[in-house]
Amino acid sequence: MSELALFAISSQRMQWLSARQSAIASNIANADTPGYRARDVAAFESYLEGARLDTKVTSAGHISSAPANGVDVKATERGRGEGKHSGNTVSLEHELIRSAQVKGSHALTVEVVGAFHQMMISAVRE
Amino acid sequence: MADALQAALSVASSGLHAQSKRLRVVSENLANANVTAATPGGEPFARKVISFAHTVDEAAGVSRVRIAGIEKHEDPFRLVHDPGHPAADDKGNVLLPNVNMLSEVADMKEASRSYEANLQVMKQARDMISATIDLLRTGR
Repeated sequence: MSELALFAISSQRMQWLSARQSAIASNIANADTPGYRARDVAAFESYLEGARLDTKVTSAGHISSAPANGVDVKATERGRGEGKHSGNTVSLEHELIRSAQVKGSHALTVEVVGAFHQMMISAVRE
Repeated sequence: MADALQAALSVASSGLHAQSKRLRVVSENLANANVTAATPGGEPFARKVISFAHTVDEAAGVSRVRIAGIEKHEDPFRLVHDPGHPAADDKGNVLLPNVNMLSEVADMKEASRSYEANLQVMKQARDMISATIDLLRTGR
């Protein structure tokens, strides 16, 4: 795996986290909307298909499995959910916990990118 | 999808707007809880209820909240016998508003809880944006 792939994966991860945060924002904003179904994005792994094993392209016939530029993360309705009398399936507490988790993962990704960037800079300076 | 965090901020602001309107309706109901008709035998202040609906923004992949309407509540008015009251009808009965203090206060609590949740989302999204921008700082 090349070091640049790490930046690509980090960038994908941050895009996915941003999309998840906006889905959570939709859920919280609509916490009191009758009939609203809570939404969430698919697991990050499903956007990483092929990105973990970066196959080398040595012939024109080979297909690269490198991550595509940008992920198109779509929010869909979350399957389970107990639901209120109004048909709304948002749980404010769960959404706030998820929001904090997303923020924590984002901070971690930012730190990883920063640390890796620092490593690359020091390698270049040597 | 490039600006998902900005979309999160705009969704949270739609939530803040909706909840503050809801609080405004509650305060109107509470302030007018004892307002009777201006003319004898007329109808008093009617309790108002706000209803929300969501609008899906396909381009940004988010769902904003909007106010579907502010309508008068269907509950019957309270009838009190008070012949000396200026708004009493010819039988001496006065109609009082259908405002129920308990449900208004519960509504107020729920509105402020949802408002805080939206504020929290806004804070998280803003922190994420500034953490990303901080990557550009020199000296990392």
